[in-house]
Amino acid sequence: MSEYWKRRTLSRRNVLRGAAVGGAGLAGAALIGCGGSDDATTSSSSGSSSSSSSSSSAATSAATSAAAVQQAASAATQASTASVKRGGKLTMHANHEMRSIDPHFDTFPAATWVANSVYNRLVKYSWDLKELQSDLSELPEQPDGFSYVFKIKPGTKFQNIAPVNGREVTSEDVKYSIERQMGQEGSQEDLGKWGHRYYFNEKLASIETPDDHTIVFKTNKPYAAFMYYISNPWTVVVPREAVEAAGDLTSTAVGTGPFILDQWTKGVSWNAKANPDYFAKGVDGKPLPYVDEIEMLLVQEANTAATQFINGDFSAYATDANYVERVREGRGDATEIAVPSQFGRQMRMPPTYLDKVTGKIMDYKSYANAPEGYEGWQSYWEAGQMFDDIRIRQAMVQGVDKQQIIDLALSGGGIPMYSVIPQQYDTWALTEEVPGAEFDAANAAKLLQAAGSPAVEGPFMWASSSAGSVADQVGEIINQQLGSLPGVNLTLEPRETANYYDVTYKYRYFMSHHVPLAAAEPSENLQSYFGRNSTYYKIYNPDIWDKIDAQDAEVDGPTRQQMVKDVQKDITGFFPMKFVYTPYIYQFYDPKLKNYRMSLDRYDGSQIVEAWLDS
Amino acid sequence: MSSTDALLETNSRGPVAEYIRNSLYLNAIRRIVKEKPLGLIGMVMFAVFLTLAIIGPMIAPHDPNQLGTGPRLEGPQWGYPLGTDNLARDMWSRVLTGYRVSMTLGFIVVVTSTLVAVILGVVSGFLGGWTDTILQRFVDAFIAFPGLVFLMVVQAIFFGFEFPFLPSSGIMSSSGFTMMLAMTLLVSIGNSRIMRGATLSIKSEVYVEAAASLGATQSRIMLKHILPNIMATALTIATLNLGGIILFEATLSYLGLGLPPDVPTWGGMLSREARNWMSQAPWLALGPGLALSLAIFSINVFGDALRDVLDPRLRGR
Amino acid sequence: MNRYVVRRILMSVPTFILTVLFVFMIIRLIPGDPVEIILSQSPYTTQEAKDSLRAYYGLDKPLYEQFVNYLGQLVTGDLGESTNTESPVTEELRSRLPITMEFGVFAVVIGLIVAIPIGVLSAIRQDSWSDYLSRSFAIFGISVPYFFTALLLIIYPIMWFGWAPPLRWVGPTEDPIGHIHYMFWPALLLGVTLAGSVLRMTRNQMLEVLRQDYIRTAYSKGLRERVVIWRHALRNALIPVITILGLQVGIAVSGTVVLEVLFNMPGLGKFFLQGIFNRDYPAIQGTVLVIASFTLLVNLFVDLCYAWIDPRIKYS
Repeated sequence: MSEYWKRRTLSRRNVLRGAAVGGAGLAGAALIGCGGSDDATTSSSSGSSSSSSSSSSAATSAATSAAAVQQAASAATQASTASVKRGGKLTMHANHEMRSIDPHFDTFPAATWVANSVYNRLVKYSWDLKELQSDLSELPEQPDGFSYVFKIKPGTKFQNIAPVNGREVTSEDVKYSIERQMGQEGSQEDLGKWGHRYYFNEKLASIETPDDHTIVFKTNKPYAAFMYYISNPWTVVVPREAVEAAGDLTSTAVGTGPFILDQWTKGVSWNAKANPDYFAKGVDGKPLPYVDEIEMLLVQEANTAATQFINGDFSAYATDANYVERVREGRGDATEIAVPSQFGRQMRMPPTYLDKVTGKIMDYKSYANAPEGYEGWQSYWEAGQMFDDIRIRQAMVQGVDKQQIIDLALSGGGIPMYSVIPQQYDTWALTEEVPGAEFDAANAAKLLQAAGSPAVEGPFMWASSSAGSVADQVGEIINQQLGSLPGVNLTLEPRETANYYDVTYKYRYFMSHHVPLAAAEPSENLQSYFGRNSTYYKIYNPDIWDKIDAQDAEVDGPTRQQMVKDVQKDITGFFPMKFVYTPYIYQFYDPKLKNYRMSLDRYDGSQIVEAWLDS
Repeated sequence: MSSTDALLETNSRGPVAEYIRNSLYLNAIRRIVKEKPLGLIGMVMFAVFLTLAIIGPMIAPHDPNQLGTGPRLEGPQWGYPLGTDNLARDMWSRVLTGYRVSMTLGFIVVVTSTLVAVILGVVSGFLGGWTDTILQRFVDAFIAFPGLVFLMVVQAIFFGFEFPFLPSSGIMSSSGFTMMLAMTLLVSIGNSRIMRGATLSIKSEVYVEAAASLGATQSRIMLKHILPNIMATALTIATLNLGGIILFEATLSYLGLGLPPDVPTWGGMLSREARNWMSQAPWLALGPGLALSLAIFSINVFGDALRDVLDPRLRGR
Repeated sequence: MNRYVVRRILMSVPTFILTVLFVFMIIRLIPGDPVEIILSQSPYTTQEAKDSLRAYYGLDKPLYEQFVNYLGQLVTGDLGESTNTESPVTEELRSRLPITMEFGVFAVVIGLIVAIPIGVLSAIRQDSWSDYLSRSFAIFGISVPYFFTALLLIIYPIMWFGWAPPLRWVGPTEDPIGHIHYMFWPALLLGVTLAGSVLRMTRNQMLEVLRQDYIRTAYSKGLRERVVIWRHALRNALIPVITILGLQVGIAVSGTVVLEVLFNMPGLGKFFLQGIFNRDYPAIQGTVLVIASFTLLVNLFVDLCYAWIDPRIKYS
């Protein structure tokens, strides 16, 4: 079984990377192969500790300090102010098609890049998610734990095109935008469209605009996630006129941002030209942006994208472990930075409804009724009841060896997850295994025996994308790992994505492995999967629910940090699922591209404004 | 027109016809050996592949699915002639097992789809009239419908269905069965058009009309006269379809709609391991790619030759 | 003859309606609907939100009502709005269909350029080594999956020679030459596959024709071989070849689906595949409608051609 390990040949790069990650125990983004040759391979352990505890203001505490990324990494792409160059066209790569470019509608990732180029937020985070920066507004003041006062910078104007024609931004615009995001503009029929309603809906007591430049938000109760949501890439300020002119913003965009949307060819690309009247100044004291034009090409097939980057079609590009060797070989001159992704992988058992307090098993059918004609599912549903026995859940968790998955499926290009929040967000993430959740096949077998040697038989499913993803391989590895436990016999069932969602969002599965959505804000991860009103997953454990709610209302940074870590330990120790790994994202930058780092939040596209192209 | 055909068409009743029919296939093989060198090559290759489909999994040195039976991502070497993949499995064993999977899939679909096509085609062509008109409208509509959608739909509808009599993994598992079912429907309806054509042309032959005028019942004519005479066409179509079916599986795998990863198919290997790792490990593409292409090549070449000697009417289809 | 033509055309009407019904029903049988996909990335999605969005897209109505509505839309030439791209399907088709048509035609042209000369040569030199070689080539062309050859082309040349086929979409209006250059490689891959069948057919038809009396007559009149082959034989052999080309629409469609994604071509095939994965009912319906009508038209054309060539054919 572990034969592969002995024979595995570790390249020097792998050893170094392993050392960096393993040694620090932190989600270090290692700078690998700057300059392409082996000699240039540098790596050091990342020792930077979380920084958010330095300030007690809610603003900074909510600053989801990101992975500790070395200074060396940023130095690679940051350049001195003296060398600022203007002009040129910057091309990037997107692997998702955009449904619409309305920032307040769906949550599909590619669209924020348009949103963050064309619009601005009140405040935003730096690329490493550590520093809160002013955007339309100065950093907010907080008279108390419920209120946030933002002052819009004087002289911030909309783009000089119809229908706004360069008018000044007022606090009314901000109010309108937040209310729009909350779905207040929409009718009851299309409520489902407003994918970001939950940011502020039912959370805000009032939005006041004492004058044209001041806006005051008051929350119902202490709301720790407020700063995250107000600085979120989707929470942008849109002009009312534009919405009224076009009905919605699905295919038009006019804002305050550094770029003016030029053309969006669906399924191909979009591009935007520099806004000559942009308010923000760059490092050289002159108005941003530096480049004349940005462009984003849609490339869905990863092999095609790799070839295009090698061929010079993009200036910046990110990919998975599989394609890294090839890009390194083809583009020795490119700067390479490996960052753990925010998208981890979980091996799930069906939601458990064991009431820890009363020891009572919840009535399955009252939660989600199987639809008619799905008798087959009904039987899995019954079979899923075996996971109410915590010993069986623990056995499944102990039966999975995450390191083997990382080594085989990703060539070592990933780091383990220990709980809900991926290691990339090191302020909140657990950095070591929760006792009882570690890989221990022998103990797993014992647990199964103690539970009466049940036959753990049923389908094991996942979303099999058409992109030849590693999901299939992960499924096969987990299947073999669990298959070596007595009585475990799973049937592999890769499912086409929509089909998979259809089943899993009704919690109608036996076992699955899944890529959860993750954000820099802990509540987003905790509430939507394990909270009282969770929809992505459910556990019936009021104890955990209460703890999640409590951290939600805790505005003191360090206290909240501890609470988040504690509740994560509880969740992992309840064994609803195995937290497996997050893969590295390998970012490559053309040497001509300066002063640019992709944000650790994949959705945030605002960093591009400060980039320039060396000639 | 070949001599056998001529004989067949003038003497299709009685012991003579029986004799000719029985020797027809033997005769065809003999003619391929003598007259069709390319077909011969195809036939020999096809025979080898068939043998590999039977004994392949037995002679495979390693378990094709078991993780870590070899080094990880290493090229061809002693003990691992086709290298190993990123799950540290022996590609040679996987490719060998792939023969059985592909051939099983191909044969089952070919046999069932040809049966269905023959039944549909003969019924529609022989009965004619409204039965034919209505059936053919459905066939038309089906042919105009992109096959990919159809395959997806059948797969999706039956996904999650556990057929109780099937094993939990392998090509004969529920998912394999579903794929075969979908392909059978797809292939058979398209082919029924050809079988109908063949039926029509035989129906208008003098001897069939003679049999009818002598008072033979419809079912007798169908079974005794029509069916035996379209068998050559059916066989040829079946052979030519075999390659297409194996290829279709590969395309479905590529689109993420293939068989589960514990069934080692060539298409799966190409669209999982090879697609992700072939730039640094070309052997991942080489083994399954070559196996797939050569198998389909041999089937097509053999099918062409078979068509030439058995059923020249099908030329140009 | 006229009566046959009218009948044949009338017969395609029920077929067309059946196809529309087929696609309408069948995509709704697949588990999962557009709403699941749209909301898959939004946490805290309540059942009310899902229901409201279903209502917004009209998916809450009974199937027959949806179908009647759809037919009503169809009559007015409205194919609905794509749930995936949020733009009218007719608009999408208008921009994408020409690209795929061009791709298909380009591939067919390449296929013919490759296949016909080789097919003719192969027939003239029947059972020679050049015959075997060219037939092997033809059959090999249809033995390798498209996606595989495309991946080989995309991955390896850039590693070995620093060359890659153009992978950036270039519109025909912005740069006609760049556009043709861009189209060439995917069209070549598809063309080689089409060439396989065309080559085999050309060869077989040529062999038939070369045995015909009028060819012998032409030879005996002392015409040069080149003239006989290219002027007399080929012209007659090509009629079935061309009609058969139309029947390869199905192959071409599946080819465009795969190749358009690999080469970033904003065509119908890509739209279709995206539509399927996103359960974009209007998009799938619209695309299938176009493909089906095209296939039906081609079949109609083929049947009419046959009737015209061979007046004995009666519709049965």
